Amino acid sequence: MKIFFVLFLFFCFSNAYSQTDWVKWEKAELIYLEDNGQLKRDYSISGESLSEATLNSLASVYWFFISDLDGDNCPFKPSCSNFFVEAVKETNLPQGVLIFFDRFTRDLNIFSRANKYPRFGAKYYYDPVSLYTLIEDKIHYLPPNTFIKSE
Amino acid sequence: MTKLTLIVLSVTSFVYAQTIDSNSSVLHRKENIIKFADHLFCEKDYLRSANEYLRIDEALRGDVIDFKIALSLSAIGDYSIAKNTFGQINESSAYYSLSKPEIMKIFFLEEEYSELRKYYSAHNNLSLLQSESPESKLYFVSYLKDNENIPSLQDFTRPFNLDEREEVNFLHQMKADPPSKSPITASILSALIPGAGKIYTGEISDGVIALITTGLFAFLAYDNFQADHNFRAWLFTGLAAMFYAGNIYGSYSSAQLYNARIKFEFNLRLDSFLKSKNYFIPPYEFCE
Amino acid sequence: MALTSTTLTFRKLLIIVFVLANNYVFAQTYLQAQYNYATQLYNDEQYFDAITEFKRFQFFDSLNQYSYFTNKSIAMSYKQGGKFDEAIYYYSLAELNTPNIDSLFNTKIEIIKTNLLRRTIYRAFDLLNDLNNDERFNSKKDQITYWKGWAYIFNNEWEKASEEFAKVDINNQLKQICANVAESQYSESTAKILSYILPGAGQFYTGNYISGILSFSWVALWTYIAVEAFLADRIFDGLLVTNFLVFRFYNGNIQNAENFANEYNSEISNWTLNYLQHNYRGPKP
Repeated sequence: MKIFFVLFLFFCFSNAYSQTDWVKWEKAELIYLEDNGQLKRDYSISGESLSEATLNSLASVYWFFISDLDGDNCPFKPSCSNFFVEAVKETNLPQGVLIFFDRFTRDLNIFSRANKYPRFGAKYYYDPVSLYTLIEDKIHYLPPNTFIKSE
Repeated sequence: MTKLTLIVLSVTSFVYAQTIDSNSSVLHRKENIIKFADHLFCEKDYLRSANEYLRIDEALRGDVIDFKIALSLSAIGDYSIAKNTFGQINESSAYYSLSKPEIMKIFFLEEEYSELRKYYSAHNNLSLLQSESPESKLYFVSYLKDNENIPSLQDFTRPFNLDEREEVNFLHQMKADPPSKSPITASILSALIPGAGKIYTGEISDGVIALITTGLFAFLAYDNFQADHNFRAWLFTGLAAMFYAGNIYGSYSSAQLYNARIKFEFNLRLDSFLKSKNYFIPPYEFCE
Repeated sequence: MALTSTTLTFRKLLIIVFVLANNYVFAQTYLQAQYNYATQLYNDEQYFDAITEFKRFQFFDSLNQYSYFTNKSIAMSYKQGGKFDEAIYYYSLAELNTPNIDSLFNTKIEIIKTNLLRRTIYRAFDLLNDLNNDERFNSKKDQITYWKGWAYIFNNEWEKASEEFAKVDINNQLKQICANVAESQYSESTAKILSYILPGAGQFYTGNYISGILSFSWVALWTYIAVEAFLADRIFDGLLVTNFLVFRFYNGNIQNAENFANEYNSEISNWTLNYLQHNYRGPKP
């Protein structure tokens, strides 16, 4: 029985296995450690300009005093506050505010998230700012059930 | 006499056996390299088979081996070297005509669509586009990937055979006239009724929530103005205005996302069609 | 002396047999040389090329006499390159043709070790259970227990790992290390229960004092406001505050306690795993 199982594997996977050898690989360092994938917040209060520095400090204060203590409430990655900071950095303050309110509306919508957003890790949905800047070249569409491991 | 022959034979084979070292052993002779490389090729271990074939001296290779080397490199993704190797095949060889669609397939995978069409015109009479061949099919399919003016449906589908025609028809329609949604229309609809733009682009739940939220805050603002709580009323007005403006912006970008999704699904469908037809190249008989 | 026809044929046969025998010995010399070449590449850490040469050996070994050795060597090369799926595949092929019971057992253990490195720990546990129930390996229970301990280590169950190592040998170094880790780790359930009873207590238990104070302050503040609202008969306001603020910070406090405990525990685990990888001299995955 076991022989049939292995032969079955052989015929199914002999092609798939050869694909790892399509690029020459070297000796790998065997590692026992496991990675956790817990993303840490960036509490910097510096920035390129005064406005950016203000934004960063306000965000850091919010994170330290409030966000760290009321738990993981945002189903998206990047989280809503993070999203707002990145949106203002990539475009400008008024546009960033509009993007944020649109994101907040989508956050309120608890239905049919699985059919719309790709997934990030086990618990989150992936929703980057680049989809909403109105610049078409930056939009890299990902279909709903794709899994993304890290940024 | 027999004794002499025996002695000579045994001594020479003994001496021969001792002077062999592993590198030049019989397993690394040309015929055995080819046998092993053929086996690796049929196992799809392409990098190894290419490296084995390349160990054979260039002058001794012949067109079959050059063709297999180029096929292996093309499978791995070494596109420029594969193209060169295909190009080295002599025009008189039987493999020359087989190498032309492979070169066009490489241009396709490299996303060099105009180069692909230039290559075709350089090596073929353009009237041949009406006949059925892998090259003419790839020529037309390349129009589905880039942004040049696409030929008419008649010319486009002529080289395809009957079981391919339906899919090619569909793909041509989708490319020439994609069912996109206009962002401007979406934003205008949202300006008239909050949330209508999102419903237009297919995100019905988002649109309904936006309508409820804007309506709720507007109602709260009105209610507080009536009850003369001015600070709260202005606060709620501000929030309602922000949600309203955010929804208009969101409808515009939602239409953009809808169009991006159509493009993505079109490319996915086209790629899986091409893979299932193996880029219209008939299978080879190298492996039984 | 005149040679009869039978003597002539006999001598011809003798020559032919002699040449053929030489060729056979010849061929064996070639296979041996090829095997030596491949093993040399393996020892030089050229694993990709070693696999090529072992595959060549396998291809020309037309009688398939050496398939156990070649499959095992190919699997070892893949393992050194970090390609664990392929390694397990070739170890399974080697398992089919083992020469004796001991090498069958060793191959099965190699598969378990590769599963640990690949972090498919549950598969390793299944295989270990199969080995335990297999009557052919009744004399090797000690070894099976030893590797079960390693499986518990990789699965972050240090308490159970320590017990397994104790079964093998009461003074085992690994038993001591695992027991130390189990002791110095925080209990996740204790942290959660403390946080349920008193917001902020779980965070104090795990050593995050600032977070504990802030958590406690927020929950206290919003509960006070909520209670005041209920007492002043503003039920709706009270409900709003309770729902959106008190519960939010209370749940956040429990989540934080759990996360801090887990973070601290994985730091200890990772440090110990690193130590074992580089400093432990016994058999390891």
